[in-house]
Amino acid sequence: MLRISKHDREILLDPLFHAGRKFYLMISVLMLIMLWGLIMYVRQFVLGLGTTGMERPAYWGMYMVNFIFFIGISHAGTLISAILRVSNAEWRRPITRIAEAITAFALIVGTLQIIFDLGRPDRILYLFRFGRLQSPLLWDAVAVTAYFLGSLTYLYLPIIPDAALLRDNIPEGAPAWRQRLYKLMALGWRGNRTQWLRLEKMIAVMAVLIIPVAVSVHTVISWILATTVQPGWHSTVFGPYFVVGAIFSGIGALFIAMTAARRAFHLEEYITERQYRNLGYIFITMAAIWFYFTYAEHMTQAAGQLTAEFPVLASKLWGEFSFTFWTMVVIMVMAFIVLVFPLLTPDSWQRSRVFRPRFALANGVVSVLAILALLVPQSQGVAADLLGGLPSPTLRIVAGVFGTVAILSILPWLKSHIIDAMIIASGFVLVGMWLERWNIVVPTMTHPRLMPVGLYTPSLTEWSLFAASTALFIFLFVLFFKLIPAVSVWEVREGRVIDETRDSAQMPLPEPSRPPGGLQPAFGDNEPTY
Amino acid sequence: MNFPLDNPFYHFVYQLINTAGIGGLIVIVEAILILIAVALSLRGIVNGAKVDEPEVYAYPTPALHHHNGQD
Repeated sequence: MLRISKHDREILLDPLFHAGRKFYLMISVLMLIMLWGLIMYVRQFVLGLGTTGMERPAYWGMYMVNFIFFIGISHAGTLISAILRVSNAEWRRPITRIAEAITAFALIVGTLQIIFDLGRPDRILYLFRFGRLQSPLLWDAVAVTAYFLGSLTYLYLPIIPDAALLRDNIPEGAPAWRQRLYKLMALGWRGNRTQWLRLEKMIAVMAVLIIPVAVSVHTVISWILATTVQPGWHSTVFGPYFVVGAIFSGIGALFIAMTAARRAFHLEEYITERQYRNLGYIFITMAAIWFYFTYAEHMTQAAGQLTAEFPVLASKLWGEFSFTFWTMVVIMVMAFIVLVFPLLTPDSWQRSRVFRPRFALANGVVSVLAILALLVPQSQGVAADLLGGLPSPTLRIVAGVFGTVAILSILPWLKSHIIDAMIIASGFVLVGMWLERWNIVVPTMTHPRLMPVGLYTPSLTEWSLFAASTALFIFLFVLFFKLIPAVSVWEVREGRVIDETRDSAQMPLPEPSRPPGGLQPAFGDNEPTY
Repeated sequence: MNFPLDNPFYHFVYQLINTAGIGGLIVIVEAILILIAVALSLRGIVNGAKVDEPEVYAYPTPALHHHNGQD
């Protein structure tokens, strides 16, 4: 029988067998949203794709946007977890399972979007009956199949010892089906040396294999677009651009998921600021790379000035998609500010009476009112009453000055509340990345070659299925972590031993490169020996 | 031989990438191969329990790799 400490058992295992009112309320709300989505899907199935906003020439719309978005989120897991595992980053241990679960569930939800988009789900079989090797859609099926099966395996392997722990330490009165479930999942695990060595070897092999597969998945998705000659898609940058965006949004999803698990299961002792800080550095790096690729992608279109491509770019910069494009840019800049600027803030600012959240809020409200008065000069309401009479240059100055003061004032708070800062940045990034997918798919679809410009507005059916898909993702996540510990118990215990051993060892000072008090040897002299 | 498809190799490649259904076959073969590999690996873990080692551990440490169970 495998043992677990009383402390770990109380925090990590016992909550799996108790469900409060909040849990059932959440499940009920999620199921209601999913039921609504099911009704709308049945309606679409019966009446056809005419119930969506898609029509010639915009054959791809929100479903495709959601497909790319969810597959992108799936990179949270396996890729990030695998990279951290391969690089032996010890701080990864409490968050790997959450990351790996995100991958599996995001892949399920992402693949569903293809079924929605087909209209008739039986047509998915056409891919297998008539699929040819020259088709990028077929490559996508190959890559997603490998990634899904690999991710499920990579999620399951570290669960085996924890399932055995649950099997051996299940509380009295637990349902019989759960006992059977853990026994089945444990695969007769005893925890002897041979089993541990085989398990660790298999996890290590999977971690190495899954990284190129994950990269291939999002590259292939980009090829679905890039191998066409549609204006704006025929780009060599798309592969790495999609992969970077996927990891970027994946980390955002991981921050939100790990914070939700941390608060729901009171894992503050396991998921600490160390995980937020280190993952935050990767987040900043990905943000910088994402900005670079976004600039590179649009700069090449602008420099090319191709007859078919330029209208797509123009529609984003000042045309019908300028709102979604510039909202994406502003949101991503805000995310970058939230991530980077607190690191540059002096500690002395935290003692200042000026740099307070309330002061920031007041300045932010004035700035937003000035922007509203600028954007809608004829509007009625608070913005028009307070600032409507001011001339445009003055409004711009007011918006700029108060906005800057608001950002500067909130920085010390963000610095001292790193978890909240990461959640805010993650929220920005997830919205921004969804908009990025929208800005890639829809403007091109509505500005094709050789056809008149089309229009696309998502219908209630598409919004409903988006809401239901998000609800399904959260539902799977909540249900899974009601059965399996959100933190990998054995990995955390191993990490604890490693940390304690390192702490107990005394690190020697480095050897001096010259004798104390002695003169440095002149260049060309014989090397002194110490 | 000026036309590439006169070459048997190129002809074979042409047929390979243009025949309907081959892609689906590859997805199915790929899935089966992955599932077999996973099943074999899991069987290795299951069989590991049958090895005669009295000591069992709830978690490993790096030292376990060099531990022979005799001391």
